[in-house]
Amino acid sequence: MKLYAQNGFGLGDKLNVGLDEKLLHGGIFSPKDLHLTTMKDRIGEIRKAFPKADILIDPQFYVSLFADGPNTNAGHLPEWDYFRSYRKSELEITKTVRKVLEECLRNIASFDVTGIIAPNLHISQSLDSREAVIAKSFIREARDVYAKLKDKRPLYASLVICREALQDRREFEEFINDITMLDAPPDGIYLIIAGRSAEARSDFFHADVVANWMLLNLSLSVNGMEVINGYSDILTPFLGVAGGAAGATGWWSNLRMFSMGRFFSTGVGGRQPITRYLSKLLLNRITFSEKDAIAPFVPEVINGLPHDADYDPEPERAKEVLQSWEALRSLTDAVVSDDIKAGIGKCRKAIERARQAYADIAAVGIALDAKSRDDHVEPLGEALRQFEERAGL
Amino acid sequence: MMNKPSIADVANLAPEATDFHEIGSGGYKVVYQANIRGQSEAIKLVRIPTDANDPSTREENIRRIEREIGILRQCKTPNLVKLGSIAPRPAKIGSEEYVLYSEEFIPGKSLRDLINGRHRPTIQELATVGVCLLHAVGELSAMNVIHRDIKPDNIMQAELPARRYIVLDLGIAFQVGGTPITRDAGRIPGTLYYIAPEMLDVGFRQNLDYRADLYTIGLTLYEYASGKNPFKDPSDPPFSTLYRIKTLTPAPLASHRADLASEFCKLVDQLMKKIPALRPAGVPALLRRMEGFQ
Repeated sequence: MKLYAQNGFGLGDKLNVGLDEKLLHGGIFSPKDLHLTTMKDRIGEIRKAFPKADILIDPQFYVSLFADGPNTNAGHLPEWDYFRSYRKSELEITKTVRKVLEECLRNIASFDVTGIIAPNLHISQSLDSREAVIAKSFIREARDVYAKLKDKRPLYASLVICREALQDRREFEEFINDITMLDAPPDGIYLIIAGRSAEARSDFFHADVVANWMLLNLSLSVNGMEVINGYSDILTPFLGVAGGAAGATGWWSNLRMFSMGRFFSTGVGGRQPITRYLSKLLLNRITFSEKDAIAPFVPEVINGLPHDADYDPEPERAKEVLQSWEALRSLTDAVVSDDIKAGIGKCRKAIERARQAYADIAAVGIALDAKSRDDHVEPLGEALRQFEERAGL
Repeated sequence: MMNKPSIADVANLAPEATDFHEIGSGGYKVVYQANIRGQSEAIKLVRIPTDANDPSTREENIRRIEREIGILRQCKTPNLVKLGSIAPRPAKIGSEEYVLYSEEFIPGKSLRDLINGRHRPTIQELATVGVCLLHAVGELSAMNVIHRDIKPDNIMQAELPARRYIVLDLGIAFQVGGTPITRDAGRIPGTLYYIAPEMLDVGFRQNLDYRADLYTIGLTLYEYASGKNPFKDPSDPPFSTLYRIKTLTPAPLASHRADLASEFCKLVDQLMKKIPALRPAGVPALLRRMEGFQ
């Protein structure tokens, strides 16, 4: 399974370093966060320096429904020809969908990317809704419109679903039954699951959400589509076990988990987040001071990987994401295999080890910050159980 | 069929045919092998059930037969049974109404006969069955038709080079987007042990697609390879069987047939997934995979 950088504001040289150190297989660029011309230059440089890297652009068309809202922060997106405000009623018309697809695909194909991600909107409530019908229309039409470009690069349709929509099992199964029966499927799907906020861990670490995210990966991959999971962060290895081809994460919390809030101004300032360390054992990030407090009692909380050295003393912020990518890559490589049952077994063991480690930490009386706690462990275990049962494994 | 008519009565309805003998029967149907101008054909006599209180029952059953014949008339694949020389004709024996027509007679054994004879098929045989069934389902799905009753009893081993296995009986075929024939929306058509899990969902007709046939192809291959239908337990009431179909994951085929290629076993297991989206769709791609095992 591949790991990509989910790029955003403050790109700097992070992607280059990640690729140079072979922590990453590629990156997904964000039109909101880079000037169009800067992006073109950066992609050109990276392709030259790392010709084997996968470079993609998320068209972020899902912001279009809100493009003219007073609090919308579309950043540099309006610099792109395809980007403008749309209403759902316009997108219900197939002709409009095809026009958006053509403009967007042409625009993105003019960049030196290795694959083309097609636009789509955000399914914000239910998989049995107008938005879901429009989203399916974008997926169905993408291949035919792309054929006109006579471009040989792989085509990925986008699918952006709010996590609430994954909780109705009947609607979910009907939806996946529909999108796996395409006459002309794309080569793959760029899949994003959206929470209410990138900080709302319980939105993502929820058994139904993770199980259905895994089922999406399995059903699409069984049907020959390559699944690139955007903003999948620590869930990346679980999605890889289910058949996902790639996962992605970035350096801010809003590049690790997706929320439409990323495209709205909050008007509130804030301080820089605390630097954290991604522990493979805990399947979670802990603060620098927590890491130092736990390590004497539970030494396995340290990954034993080269970027651990950056954390002695506390690292500069740019190093944090390198440590994250390194830990995720290592965890993914350890868990994902061609045999789905073997992969699930390894995931289960990883969860059991995390459960035990948290018990050991509690036993020595170390209090953890809210984000460092074990709230994710039980939902992950339950998600695996649900996935296994529903996938008939 | 209860109260089957005598062969003499049937022979009167088809004077062009001779040498009748019964070769099969179902709830409303008897099939005879007979000779027509020196060729063997299968003559089907289908009773039209009627309800004195509901004349539409008769219409429903006539439409069902017409649909089966209409589909067979359009099919080109060698892996589906062909119509014979007797075009459908209405018939009456005593007070009972029937439709009589003929199909080609396919000499050979059904997969059920082979399973009952404890035949242990090789991977080449299994893949050939798979290829033939996929050709049949591919053609039907192109016509938006779902067979819904693929099972070992409905597959004949024909021993003809271009037609190694032939699918019979489109009696409960479903036309996607067609006019509904069944008025009882709660009735589940099909043979108990071969009902696809999605057909047990409320309002299944709204979402049914050819992956229901891919499921029964998987199940047929599984049973032919292992000798066992994983959902069959004649001592159980039908409700328990339906529950098992919906919830029980069969033991992997490889656990019964470790001698078969693991990729083939995995493919068969995948075709039997409960959620249609988890079955590999796309008949051309499946055909390529199946042909790889021949």
